[in-house]
Amino acid sequence: MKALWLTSSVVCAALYLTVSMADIRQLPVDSATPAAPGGPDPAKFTTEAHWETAGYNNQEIVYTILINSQDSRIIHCSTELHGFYLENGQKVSISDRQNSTIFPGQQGKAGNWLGMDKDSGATYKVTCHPR
Amino acid sequence: MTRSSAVRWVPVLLFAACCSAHSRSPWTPPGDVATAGSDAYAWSLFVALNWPADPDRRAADPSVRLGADRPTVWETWKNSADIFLHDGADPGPWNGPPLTDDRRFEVISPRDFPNLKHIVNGRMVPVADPLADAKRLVEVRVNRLSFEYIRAHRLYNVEGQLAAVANGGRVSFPSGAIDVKAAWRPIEAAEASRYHTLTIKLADGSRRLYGLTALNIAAKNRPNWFWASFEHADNQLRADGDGWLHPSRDTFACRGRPSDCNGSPTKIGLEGTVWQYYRLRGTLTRFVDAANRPLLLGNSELEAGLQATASCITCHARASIGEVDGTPTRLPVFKAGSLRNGYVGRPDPEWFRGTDATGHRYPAFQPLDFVWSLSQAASERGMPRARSAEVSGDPP
Repeated sequence: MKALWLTSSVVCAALYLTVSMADIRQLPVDSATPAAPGGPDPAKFTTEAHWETAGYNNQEIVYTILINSQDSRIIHCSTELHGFYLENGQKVSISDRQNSTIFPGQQGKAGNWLGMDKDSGATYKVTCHPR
Repeated sequence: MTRSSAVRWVPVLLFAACCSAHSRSPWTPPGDVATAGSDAYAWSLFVALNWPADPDRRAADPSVRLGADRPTVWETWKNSADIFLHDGADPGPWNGPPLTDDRRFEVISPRDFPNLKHIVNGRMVPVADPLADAKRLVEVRVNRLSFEYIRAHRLYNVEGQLAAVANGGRVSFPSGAIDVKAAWRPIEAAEASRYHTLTIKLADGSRRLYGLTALNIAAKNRPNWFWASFEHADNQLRADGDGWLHPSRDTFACRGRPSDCNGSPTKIGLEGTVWQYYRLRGTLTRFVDAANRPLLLGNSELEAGLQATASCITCHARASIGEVDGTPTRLPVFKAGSLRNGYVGRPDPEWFRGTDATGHRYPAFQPLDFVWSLSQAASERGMPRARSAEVSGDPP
């Protein structure tokens, strides 16, 4: 299994995950974004995402995506999010993109999104490149 | 007394003499639930706490009628942000300066959630002004008795709480302590005649009108806590609300009718005021009913998204603190693996136990007398705020 994770860190083009009810806490997944031919080595990073409650009475739900740099360089990441929210009882699709800069070996928050419907799940894709 | 002030007192004194359900003044919180019955007691509390206040004395102003356009008694009490300071410091005496609007409410802020976005007109946009962008504003306040107890026992920070429960110590608020939790929503000016209102200055300098949509009251009463949950009548049909998943239970307002009549009680002074539009959703003093079934009580605003498993008393029974691996830790509000699935029924003693390195079970968490707001306490030594245990104490 470990070897498989290692392989994925080399060949995985980008991370694309679906987070459902059963995946409130996800295991981190190694990932790397390939570089252009002749370019610098691909960025090394892992991501994780989770739903959490916030506010005094935990009445709001926040979807958080974290990026853990495993790279010795500053990396720039682009996160694409797709999810749903409820409007007058109807499920409505929503998407967003967030750019972030992660310093070497550090963890950064790709973003925090408020108001999505957890039961409908969310998917995201993170692409990172070295500076 | 001048003639004008005497005239001003006449209706109040007439109300006190004729219309109060009890011999006490209606602006004085009642002392004992047992003499009134739960629902009558809840409404007596509601009237007393919503009485217009004298802001200088931070107490009811008996010279003013119920429903006067002024802050209420509970709005002059100490806000949780007044008490639980970021550095865990002593909050100072009761008569300190009032909070500004941007600190008064529990809002989700980009300070806590970097790059925070929310949905506006079908798009994710950054949260620029947490107050303006919040769907509803929630605040917690405590009366002087509750505040003085917190201060005297240093419960305003994590270290004080741990010390209070060390070596068999026990947190026990005095009878008469009252905590309230309130929710406000933006309303239109045309709705102001139906709501207790508040105008808030936003970050851009503009002012916005808010209406009180919900008020939960917890009162310590010989020797247990009593919970009463009130909502604005409009909440049940609110398009962007949860609706009322449970019928109301109010034997006082519904005298002679089914207890879910959703009515406003008469002859306690609510007629002709905004308070006639508020409903008692229920009261709670026990974990289970006579058939041992869990008793539920959920407020569509204050327990939004969790009404189905909302039990004030069971949830608050989990207010606690302990040290796990040297880290201040609390029992989580919700069940492990769920976001908003709460605990109901009788508390399980196993909730409060942890397992040490040898597999031995030990009392890891000490109860904090049902007061959840204590979880907002910070460390005076700069330690992280006490975290919630992941699954500690959950039954298998």
